[in-house]
Amino acid sequence: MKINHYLIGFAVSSLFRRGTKSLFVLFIFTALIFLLSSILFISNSIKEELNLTLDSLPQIIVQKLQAGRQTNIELKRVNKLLEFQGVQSAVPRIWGYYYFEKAGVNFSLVGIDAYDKQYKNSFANIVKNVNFDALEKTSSMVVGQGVKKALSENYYKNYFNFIKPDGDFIKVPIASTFSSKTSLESNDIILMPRSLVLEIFGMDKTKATDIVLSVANPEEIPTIAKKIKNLYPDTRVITKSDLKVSYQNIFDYKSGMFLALFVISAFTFFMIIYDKASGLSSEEKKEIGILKALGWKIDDILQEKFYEAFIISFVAFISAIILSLFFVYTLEAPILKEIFIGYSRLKPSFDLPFILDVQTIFLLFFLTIPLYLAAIIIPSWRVASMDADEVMR
Amino acid sequence: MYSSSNLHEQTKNDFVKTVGLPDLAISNGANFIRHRSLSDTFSLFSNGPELLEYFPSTFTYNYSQNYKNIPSRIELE
Amino acid sequence: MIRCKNISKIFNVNKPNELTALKEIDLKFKEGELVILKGASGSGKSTLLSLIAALSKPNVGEVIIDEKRISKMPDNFTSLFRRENVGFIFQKYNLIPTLSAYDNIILPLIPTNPNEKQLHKRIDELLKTFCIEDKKDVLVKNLSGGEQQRVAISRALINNPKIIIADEPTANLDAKLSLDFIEIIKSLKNDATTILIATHDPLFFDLDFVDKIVELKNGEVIDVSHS
Ligand SMILES: Nc1ncnc2c1ncn2[C@@H]1O[C@H](COP(=O)(O)OP(=O)(O)OP(=O)(O)O)[C@@H](O)[C@H]1O
Ligand SMILES: [Mg+2]
Repeated sequence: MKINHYLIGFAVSSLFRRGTKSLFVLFIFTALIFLLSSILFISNSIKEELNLTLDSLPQIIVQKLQAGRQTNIELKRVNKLLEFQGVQSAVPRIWGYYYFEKAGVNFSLVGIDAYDKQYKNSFANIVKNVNFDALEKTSSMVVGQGVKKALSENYYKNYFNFIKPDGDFIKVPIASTFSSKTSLESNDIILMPRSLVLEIFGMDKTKATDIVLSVANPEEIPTIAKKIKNLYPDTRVITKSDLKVSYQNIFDYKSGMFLALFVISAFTFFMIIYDKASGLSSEEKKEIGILKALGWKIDDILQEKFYEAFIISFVAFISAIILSLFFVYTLEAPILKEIFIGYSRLKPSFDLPFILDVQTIFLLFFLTIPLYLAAIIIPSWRVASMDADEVMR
Repeated sequence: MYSSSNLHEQTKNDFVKTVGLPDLAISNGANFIRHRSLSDTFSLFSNGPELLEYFPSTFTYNYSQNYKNIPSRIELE
Repeated sequence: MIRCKNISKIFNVNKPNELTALKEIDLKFKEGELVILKGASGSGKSTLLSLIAALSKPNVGEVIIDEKRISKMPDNFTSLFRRENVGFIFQKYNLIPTLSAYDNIILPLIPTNPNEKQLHKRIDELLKTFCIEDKKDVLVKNLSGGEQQRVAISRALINNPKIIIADEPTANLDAKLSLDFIEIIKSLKNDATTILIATHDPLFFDLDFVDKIVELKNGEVIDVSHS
């Protein structure tokens, strides 16, 4: 079929003739899709960022529960765990929250030590100017960019005085910072020798926060996890696949923030649709009557209306998608990112990995454009099938 | 030869390997959000029973499915 | 041939304001005839014309044009019939005010995806005939009544119709333009076009090339005179 340029031209000129109305629809449509797609892009990128490092996570983490609460686990158990068939290594870890009152922020303190040979290489890759042993020798720490900023805003440029549970201070120099490339992972992290963390937390030397296991054959992970659970009913065993599941369900779509946003957007969208569907203006009706009287078939009229609606909704859709890609990945989503960052005072740079999320784009496309088309075409069809004489007067 | 984005990916993976902790440092107002994959039911209550929610973090992020690992009769939904 | 077979048109059927606009009209016009419809205001002239163009349907009776029972046909056929055969000049012009004169004139041809060159030529002819060449790109709402009427006439002629239906075509034209219009009607008649004109304008009543004058009163035919 040959494309009728006159009909498309007429549709375009009709949109321009009803300039304010078209602009209004264009604006609302663009704004809604922009909002929805931005949120979906951000949440997808966060998931992508999480999955990027999934493989580097521990295979099994063993925590101890006391009355349902997580508590420190005895070091004795390390050797017991090593005896399990298939367990390659068992490393006790010390980590936890440290609340910095002056800035009102939470840091995550992580202890490492020279015995954990397998970390040496990766440590050398992320911290260039200090080596693993030097950190231990000088009792200093490596901090994330956010920590560095929070500290220097509160006088501590080169060191920080941690307060121990007994009330004493312990002064720890800052040896280095993590690359800002890892900001999303490292922003609030403080890495220091294990002995220091023990001291700051006032922890018993015979205990650890949790124990990390590595297993020779990944297939055996579930069996080993089950065995550990059977031997120590007071533990919680978190496997890598548990972490994966947790990553997949990171966002709370079913309630809270997202639901509110989706409901508002959907509501606005249906309001427009309802407004459209509940009737054409008298001029628009008259125009349909005139066209029919001049020999336009109902199909011709509907085709023209289809072009009109499709052009405006498609332009709105495309510009919304382009705008939100720019907004999220170039501008790093100002304002909107607050939803994801919350009241954290340690703002990480919101440098998300770019993924063109075709699935989301299609979903939005098929949720909005056909509805809008229907909202335009159904009332037009109703008018177009009346007597021309009736509609024109 | 790494391309620049692969290099970042490598750095990030090295970081995670070193630290060994899951989840991102995006929202750290509440520890059960910051380290959500490792937190337990009671970390929700650790700041006092009235401090269950940190708006908007807890409205954005779901609680971790790993909560279900622990023997607790507390219904979370 | 146009045949109105015993047609009645009733508005607002079964409502308190029910109104019989046409009552048992039975008329026959041959091909190439020039017919004048006259009668007082409200006598039903416009109603009859719109029934003949199938813009509305009679309550009783039927309209048959060239063996086609157009008042019984579905909408898409009557639209197609109008597009191919009828040029209608409306009493209230029914132009689209926010389109230019040019764009209004091409409206009937848009669905046919016309050839651009031929279209231009045809429109230029019409604009010239009606002396509105310089108004081509002016929005219709900014034109005077007479200019609008000439745009409406051009639009009715664009598809070279076999039947021209004109409702008060000279109501807003001055004496000279009215005479010009009559000249056009005359030349169209020579091309064997069937022409129906509803008018109050006495100018039409004693033209020597008028074939029939039909007089309506209160929706009934009271006189048909042949000249
Ligand atoms: N859609 C309609 N609904 C109700 N009444 C109508 C409708 N159309 C026309 N009428 C009525 O039908 C009668 C005939 O109207 P019509 O327009 O045919 O008269 P006319 O002869 O063309 O008059 P004029 O010379 O003033 O144009 C009038 O009384 C008019 O009020
Ligand atoms: Mg009339």
